[in-house]
Amino acid sequence: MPGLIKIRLSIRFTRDPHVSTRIVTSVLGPEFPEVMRAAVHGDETAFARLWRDNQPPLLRYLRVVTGESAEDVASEVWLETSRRLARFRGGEGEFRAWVFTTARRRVIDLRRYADRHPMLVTGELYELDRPAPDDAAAAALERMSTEAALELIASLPREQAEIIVLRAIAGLDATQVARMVGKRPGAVRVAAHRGLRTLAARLAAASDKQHLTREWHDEPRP
Amino acid sequence: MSPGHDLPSARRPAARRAGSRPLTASDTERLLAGHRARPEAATTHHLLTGLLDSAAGPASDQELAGEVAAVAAFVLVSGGRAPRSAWFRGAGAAGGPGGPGAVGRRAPVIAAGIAAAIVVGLSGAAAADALPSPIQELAHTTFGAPAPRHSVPLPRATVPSGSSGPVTSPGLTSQAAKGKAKAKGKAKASAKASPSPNGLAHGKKKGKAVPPGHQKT
Repeated sequence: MPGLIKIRLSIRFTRDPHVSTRIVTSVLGPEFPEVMRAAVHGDETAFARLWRDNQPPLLRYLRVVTGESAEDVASEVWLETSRRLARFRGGEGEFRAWVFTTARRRVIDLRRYADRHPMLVTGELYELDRPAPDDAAAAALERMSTEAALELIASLPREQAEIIVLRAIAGLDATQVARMVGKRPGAVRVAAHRGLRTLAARLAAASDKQHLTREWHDEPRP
Repeated sequence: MSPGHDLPSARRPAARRAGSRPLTASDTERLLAGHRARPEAATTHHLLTGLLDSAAGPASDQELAGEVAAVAAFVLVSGGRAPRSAWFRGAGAAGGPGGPGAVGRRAPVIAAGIAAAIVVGLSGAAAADALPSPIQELAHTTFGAPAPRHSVPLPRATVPSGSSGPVTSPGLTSQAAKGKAKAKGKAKASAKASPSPNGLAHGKKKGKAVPPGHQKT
């Protein structure tokens, strides 16, 4: 654990100042092959390191695409990953793409199950609890917390939200995402661009509203 | 729609600060790749950077709360996966370029080696006539290995002169004769095993007839 903290800190301080500090940056780096080898041979500590690196972005992705079921689906994903770990070939980026591909398949299974077993409520339950896009944008501006940001992204059309999360949070490139979602890399870039443009418009609108409110409060009353 | 959109543009502070520069495809790629917006970029770009940074921010304790359960499930699933010997793990175990797939990559080579060893061993045994009779017979008919020999030869048939009974060639057992008959065809075999009308017996060598007076005892 202290080693992990040390690695995180060293990455943070040696990073290009123009690149933001996101958790998507690979943490294990050159240690990954050794950690993976140990995990394949049943080393719990090595598996825990893989889990700690990938669980937060996985959970955030699942929150955006499935809502309340995120933790259950994540557990199933890790169970399947544990079973098939010996079959994995590749580096750290490929491992993350592999985990997210497994997660996406689970999400599709979940949606199919929901389609076969319709409930009386229209729409999904988690969507009923979600704030309207404008409120989510205002909350994201005010709090700038992870939850508020995820809520705002989740207010986008499903495909755009999924692609933005896979690219910005999971750290996958357009080619990897295209392979996952069965589209061309160009189509993935276009969807991400549209999604970000929508987010930018909502944020700008929320920012305008905040400024207007402040101006209204600051204006001298006759 | 936000109430701000109903106001004249001069009353929109964010829009005024941001200018009218829209988000381009290259801006999108920069932001998604984790690069910060340029200082001169529009305000919305900075807002987007903040949003994506927040979405991909450091892990919370709540997100990492399931670690114990996940590791327990891993142990349960990988319980039967005992550590293998260093040789079987390949060079990866010694820190070399091998890895989890070392065994998988070696499997075809190992199988081919075992198959080659079996083929060579069987060929050698067939050449030395050391295989069991049916297999030796098969090798004999298939690729010309020596015919199977027998430790207890059948007693030589003594044929009285003028007898019309079947004569077995000296030194050629009935079983070997059957084997040859299979190999050479029924016609040839019957010719070999049939009694000589003139009392000549067939010798060991093909096509050589031995006169009665010269027959070896």
